[in-house]
Amino acid sequence: MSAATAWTIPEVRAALGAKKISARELVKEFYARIERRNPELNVYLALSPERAYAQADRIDAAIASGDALPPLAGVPLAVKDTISTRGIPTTCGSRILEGYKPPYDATAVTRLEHAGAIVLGKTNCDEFAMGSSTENSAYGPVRNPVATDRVPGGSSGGSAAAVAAGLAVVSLGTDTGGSIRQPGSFCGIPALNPSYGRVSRYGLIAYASSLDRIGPFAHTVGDAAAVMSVIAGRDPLDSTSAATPVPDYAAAMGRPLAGLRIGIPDDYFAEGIDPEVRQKVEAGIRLLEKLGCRRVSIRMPNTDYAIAAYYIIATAEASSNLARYDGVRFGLRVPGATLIEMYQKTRGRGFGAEVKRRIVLGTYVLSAGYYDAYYLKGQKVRSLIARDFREAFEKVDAIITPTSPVPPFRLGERTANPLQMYLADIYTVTGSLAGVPGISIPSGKTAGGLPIGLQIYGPAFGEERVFQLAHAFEQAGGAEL
Amino acid sequence: MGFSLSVSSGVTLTPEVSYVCAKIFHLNLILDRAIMKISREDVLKVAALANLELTDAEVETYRGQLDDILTYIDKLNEIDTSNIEPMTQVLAAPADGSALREDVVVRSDVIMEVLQGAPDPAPLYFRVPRVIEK
Repeated sequence: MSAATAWTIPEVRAALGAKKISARELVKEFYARIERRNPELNVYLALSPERAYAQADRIDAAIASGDALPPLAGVPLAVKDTISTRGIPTTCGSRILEGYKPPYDATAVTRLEHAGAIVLGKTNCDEFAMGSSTENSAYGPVRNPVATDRVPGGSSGGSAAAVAAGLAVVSLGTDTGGSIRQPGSFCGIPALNPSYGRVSRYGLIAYASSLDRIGPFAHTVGDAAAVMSVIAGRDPLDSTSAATPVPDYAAAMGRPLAGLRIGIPDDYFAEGIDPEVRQKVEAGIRLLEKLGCRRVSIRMPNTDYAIAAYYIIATAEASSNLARYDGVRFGLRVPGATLIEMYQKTRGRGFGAEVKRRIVLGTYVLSAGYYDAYYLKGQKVRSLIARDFREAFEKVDAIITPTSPVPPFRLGERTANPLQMYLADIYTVTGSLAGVPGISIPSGKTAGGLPIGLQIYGPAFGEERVFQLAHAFEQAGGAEL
Repeated sequence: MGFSLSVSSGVTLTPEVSYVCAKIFHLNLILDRAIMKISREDVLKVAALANLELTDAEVETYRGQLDDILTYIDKLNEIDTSNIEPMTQVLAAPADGSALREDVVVRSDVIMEVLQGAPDPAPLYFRVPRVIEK
């Protein structure tokens, strides 16, 4: 994708303001691109042209009458299919929700449209956000636009690929154990998982409620921050959204990094990391040092237990949240002689292999006799991992890690062994368990041209610091290391 | 995954020690295969609890995979958590009670829209197979 075809938010604003293009023409251009590329990439599951053109016409009318434009006026937006959009099919990548049209919008979508963004459609994902490659979608895998024989990462692979391929300017993803950051890394674009509680989850179809978050993909850190400025903040419709004031993210970018302490967890670079990933992330750390950061070696001693704790907690919560898909109120129903038989057949045929695996595991760890050994133990270990982060942030301002231990892999290469797939989530699940924000930003490429991501963790509600570091890194040429 | 071999960095094993270790791990592998954590019956019981119909092939696949995953999860027993509180909430509730709001009834008027998405609507109800005998 050449730079000329990838619009950023300031470019959209400038072009609309100078009347070089209308919002309607811009939407038309993006739908034309989608028509060309989507058959190969399988990024979009549903398009919403009626709604998009209606919004574009409102923006064009505001421009014509000289009204002040809202911050994201005319910005084409893609929304992950786990996020509810009124009247637009929302399937979570599952057969069990085929044809389901939510009767309401998620708050994040409402806020973005209110700020002028234009919803183009819904993006493909691993079924119910369970996966790291988008190969678990019931509607076929997404291909990585950077290298089409590779996966785009997951579970928000469609949202990452939409932006990377120039089929949206920004997009929304959801992250439970790495589902925004890892596809951001695989597709070579900035991707933020905000602090738990920072963005309203009203309208997000639940997978694991103590972990799920909504966050942006964008071409630049500045664009990701612009989206966050709109979606962050308290929402009376989500009691887990925090009232913590939302700082001015734009003002944080451009502040010098001199004196900031960056923590490098030795435990994260110990083993199992691809040599090229290690090399480029090390180069990224040196770049941050050159920009004035002080490198501090830190210990995160419970890292080795994060995957096990995560897969207990996430599957337990999933088994509970997914109980609602029973063929009664929405989506698929497979008839049965009795109510129970109808439930069993609907769920057995409506859910894909990974979802059923996690429901079985989650039900097992919550079942009588195993609750203490697994679920309670997992929650206690979660406390220890959160403590690792708290103690680290007493010594440092941010923590730097790779986003994924491996570069994007080939389609089909890792589907046979679920545990192997789970283990590759190591750098992202830790922050998910702790509730802290993390951004993935491009940090060089492999010799074969595959993107590598560097992750910056900040303390809870420390998005400002994360953006400051990521922006400086990007401006200093981090992507080309 | 019958066993896991992890050697801390900096530790060098002599060939003799490596051989003995390999033997022990081999034995563990055999024992692990013999003593499965999860049986077919366990999978069927859990599937029934979750109202999930599984094919015979799925039961066997999940049995093996869950065995691997639960064996991996056992590594949590390496840490003593007896004095650790479970993390049941990510955010502390604000002291001012601002997480709570007045319980006010608001009309949403979405009944017909909701029913339109149902597999077998019978306005104003969802129809299901008979649960109560005459």
